[in-house]
Amino acid sequence: MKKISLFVIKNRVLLILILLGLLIRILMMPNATFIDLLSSTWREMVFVNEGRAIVSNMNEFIVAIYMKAFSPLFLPLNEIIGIFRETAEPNLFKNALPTYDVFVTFPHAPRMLFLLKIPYLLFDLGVLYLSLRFFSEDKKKKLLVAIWAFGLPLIFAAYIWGRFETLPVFFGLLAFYFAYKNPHSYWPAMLSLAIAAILRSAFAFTLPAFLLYFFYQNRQRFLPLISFVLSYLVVGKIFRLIISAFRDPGFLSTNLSISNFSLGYIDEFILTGRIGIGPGEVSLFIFLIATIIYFAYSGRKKFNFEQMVYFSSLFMLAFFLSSRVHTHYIVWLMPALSLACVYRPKIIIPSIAMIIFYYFYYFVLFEPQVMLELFAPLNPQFFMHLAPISSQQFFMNHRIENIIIVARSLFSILVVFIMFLLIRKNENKLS
Amino acid sequence: MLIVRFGSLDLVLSENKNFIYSDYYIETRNQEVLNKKGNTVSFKIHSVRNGLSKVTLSTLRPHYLFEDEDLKINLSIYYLGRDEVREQKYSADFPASKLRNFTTFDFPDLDDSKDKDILVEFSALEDAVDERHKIEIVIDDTDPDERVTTGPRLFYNVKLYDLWSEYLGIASKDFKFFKYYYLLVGFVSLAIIFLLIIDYKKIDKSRC
Repeated sequence: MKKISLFVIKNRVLLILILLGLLIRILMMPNATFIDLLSSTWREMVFVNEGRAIVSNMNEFIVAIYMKAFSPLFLPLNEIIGIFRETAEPNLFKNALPTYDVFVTFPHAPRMLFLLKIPYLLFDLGVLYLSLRFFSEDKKKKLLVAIWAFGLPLIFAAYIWGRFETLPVFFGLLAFYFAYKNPHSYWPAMLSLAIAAILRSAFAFTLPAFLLYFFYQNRQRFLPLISFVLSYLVVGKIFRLIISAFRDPGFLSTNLSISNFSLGYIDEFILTGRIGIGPGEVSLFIFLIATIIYFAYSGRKKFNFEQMVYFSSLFMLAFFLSSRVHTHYIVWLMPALSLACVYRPKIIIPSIAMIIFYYFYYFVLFEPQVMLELFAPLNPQFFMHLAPISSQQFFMNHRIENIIIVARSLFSILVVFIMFLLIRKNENKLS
Repeated sequence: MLIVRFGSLDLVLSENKNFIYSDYYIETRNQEVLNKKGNTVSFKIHSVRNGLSKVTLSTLRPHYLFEDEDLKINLSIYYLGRDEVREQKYSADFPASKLRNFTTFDFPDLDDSKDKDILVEFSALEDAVDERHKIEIVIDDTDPDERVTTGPRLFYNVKLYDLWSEYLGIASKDFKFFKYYYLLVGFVSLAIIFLLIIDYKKIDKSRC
């Protein structure tokens, strides 16, 4: 008992941070969701009820297995499962709104949301565990745990939007953890990064930083790359085989993201994020990545973990700077950027501002889909009828196009500023 | 957009074609130019809450309309009963010079407006001096940009107490779950408070 008391007293600040993070998550779990959760829940319930896998990716399949294991808990969902069917159709958000309306007024909606988000919470606790294990220095540990506790992107993506982003974030952070703990063994890190990339392809953009790190640590040029590619192919194949064992061949919605490198909105930046016109044009994203690789590689005699974190952040920031993605995808920045914030606290405030403008931009751009009705399960009568942002007086008076441009510009300026701060901390170059 | 105002919230509710729900719609009754005595603009709504307090409308008037040539317009609000029987809840005259691109019309809170059909009616009380003085109040959503709503927007004055009681109502529907949920939230909250007290005492001791 005395040992416990001493432990609590000694680690009280960490415990307060962890409990506050947990409290925020628990408060959000039954009270918010986006319609995406309903469509995936319908597919998962087909697996629970009929054993057929019509899930659209590995994340859903993991949740489906959890739901199957605890299927009695999800029985109330069968009362309204029929209404989910239409939300499973892609690009029918407007048609799916009445479905959302019915779901949020369903008496068991809060309970179901809480239960559906438990797998996210488990992987999120994994993120917390890794955050605690990274640094022995108390100050750094507290900062990383504070970023976990109050990190809006993670809370928003998993507990408000209701998506499975804690899974790829966990594997992304695990890759950093393995690289940090054992710089001479690249297999665990590459395997974790490959799983993160299978779950969310954008995590593959951090690969150049990992390859440079292992090159400078082990003088291995190709083996880390081969280990990543092999892991991606083998684990991807295993996932596909598992799903195909339960797969319904006649169902058209089965589109495994592990079978093709898909970013959802990848065409947005590959096709439109370009500099110049005509044959001389170049993708802004490719241009930025090439520039960052040049900065990372040129004249360098060593490349330590701290620099790997910076350059991973730079690659991911380049992705967000040159693309238009989705409201909750900013969470993909978390593993790299949260570690970068610990090493370079100067970027914390610009990062917070950047994230705020990111949400602001997407809230204006994607609404009315992205609005306060995310909180409709909390109080359907109150939230379901709120006006979209664009019809608020302020936006009506200032033209919404202007607001979008201002929000996106401020976001881009802050991204560039953070990139500048990270590149400036480039100390190990040859003179 | 929520504006906290001493314990009450002003909520902007909107007619937007992406937000038409089974229990919330706007039906245009009349859409006349208000340049002739007796012309009316009116619409019917179904109120989703108590506390309807104001309406914002897209309104047009010539900018050269001077106050000495002002027209009087009447705004009346009715509850519609069976067979469209009208029960007047509010009536007031106002000068047309009050109109801007968007004009908000305030009226005393309709405390019992929930689930009521409500008719909002504007009537011209005078003939316009000439054609230049035409006044328009737009109800139909005419803006070609889907993201811009020009239709009426309804403001409800919502008490925080109402939100709380509604939330408790939701909790009572699934008491079995919420019993354990509140226990969990309470336990975590108490643990945080306990640790904060320990932390405070430690800081206090270190100062001594």
